[in-house]
Amino acid sequence: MSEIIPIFYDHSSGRSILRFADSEDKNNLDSGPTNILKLAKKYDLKKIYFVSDCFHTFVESFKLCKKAGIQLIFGLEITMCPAIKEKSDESVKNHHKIIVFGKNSQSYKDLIKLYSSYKTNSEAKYYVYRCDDEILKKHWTDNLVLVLPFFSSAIARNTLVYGASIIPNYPVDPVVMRETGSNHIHEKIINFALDKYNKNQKLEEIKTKTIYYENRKDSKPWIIFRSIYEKTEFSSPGLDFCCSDEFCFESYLELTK
Amino acid sequence: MSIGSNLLRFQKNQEFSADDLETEGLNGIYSRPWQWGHVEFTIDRNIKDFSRYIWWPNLNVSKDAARITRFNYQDYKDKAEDPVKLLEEFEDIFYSKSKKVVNQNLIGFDGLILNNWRRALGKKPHWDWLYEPYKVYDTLALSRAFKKGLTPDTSSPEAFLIFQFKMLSIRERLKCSLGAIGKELKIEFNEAGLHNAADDTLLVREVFRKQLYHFELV
Repeated sequence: MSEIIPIFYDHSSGRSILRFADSEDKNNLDSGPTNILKLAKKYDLKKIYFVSDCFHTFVESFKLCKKAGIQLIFGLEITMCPAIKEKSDESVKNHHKIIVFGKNSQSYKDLIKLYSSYKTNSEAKYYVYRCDDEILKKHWTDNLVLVLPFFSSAIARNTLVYGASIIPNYPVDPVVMRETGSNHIHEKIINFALDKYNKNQKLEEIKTKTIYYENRKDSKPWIIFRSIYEKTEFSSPGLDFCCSDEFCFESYLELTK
Repeated sequence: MSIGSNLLRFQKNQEFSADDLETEGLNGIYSRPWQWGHVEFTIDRNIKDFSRYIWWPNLNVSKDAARITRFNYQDYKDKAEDPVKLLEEFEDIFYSKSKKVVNQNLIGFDGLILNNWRRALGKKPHWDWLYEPYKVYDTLALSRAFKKGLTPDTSSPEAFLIFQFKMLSIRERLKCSLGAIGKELKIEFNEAGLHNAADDTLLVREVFRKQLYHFELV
């Protein structure tokens, strides 16, 4: 485990201020504000790992990557729960996330089937649309890779949330993300928990860098964007433990220099 | 060595430092502190206490923060000092190996504000102090444990820190604000002084002294 993988998040899910590309001028990707594709071209990234909780930007991002000669590796971020029928504030403590990446060209169809299975099921909604182990198993195929996101996995939630007791039952052994250089208050304690967990499980691990904006100074507009999304305000964004300006491409470049 | 002799309540010479920072807002990356309240104490001795003001030429205290803290700009301007010099003084005490740090919601908020102070002065934020073994005692976390009838896990430094993180994740309203806990523990304090860093740290000191007997803290 040596290479650090930059993981870009989708603007449409309210987490990132980086759009995939400037949709106004698809023929001239060098114009307009910074976007993911522009960064990838400038810094010669051969692959873009792009995570979203929906497919709104998938088709456009796929076509633009193909045109630019860059491989798009799309990951669907899913909120998991013990059972979709459980709807209570207690059950929310056991919400956690997984990311399902596609391995090959067939994976798009499998991801769509998985996504549709919970997103079109009103029973699966409790604040957000959730998936459970049973649905995941039913739609799992060998074209998919299951990854545990660093800050929101079952391990992180069990460590940091009072009352969380998540016992995942995944269809395959997941790959564990190890966030690097986040300078976040939770980074060290989650790493401690992962070390303990993975000592026996011996799951594959990858080093990652989550990217929501380009430079550290962009954390200001990022918080403004998130405040608008959360209907709060800059002076009081209401984002628990939002305390690091290192979720940026600038930080990734420094780590990989 | 007798059983329990490692408990903090028996460490008569152990020094604690309690700090409170009043801020211009609740932004975990950008809100800067403008007042620093500080007390140093042992379990049965008060060593010192003071309040200092931190100068920022472009301080922007939100309406809500100004109302809650009774912020007065002229008063602040007259008393405020160089933020670089004050940060050095703060960190000299805060990082001292001989002192344990006590604070209401240090892990959930004031620790973030300390890093904002560093960041505003071009210094890299860090969390090294949080991960020093048995360095940090968050009175909000301990108050929630008290209300829920839970025993802090002090079996290892990591376990204790994880316990405090978990207590801070509780969303249930437990009436654990400093004032509410002060009243419940029948501590005499200046209620009109709440949300003034100077008064808050005095109350934190007394709350923590009680908590040392509620729990077997090490």
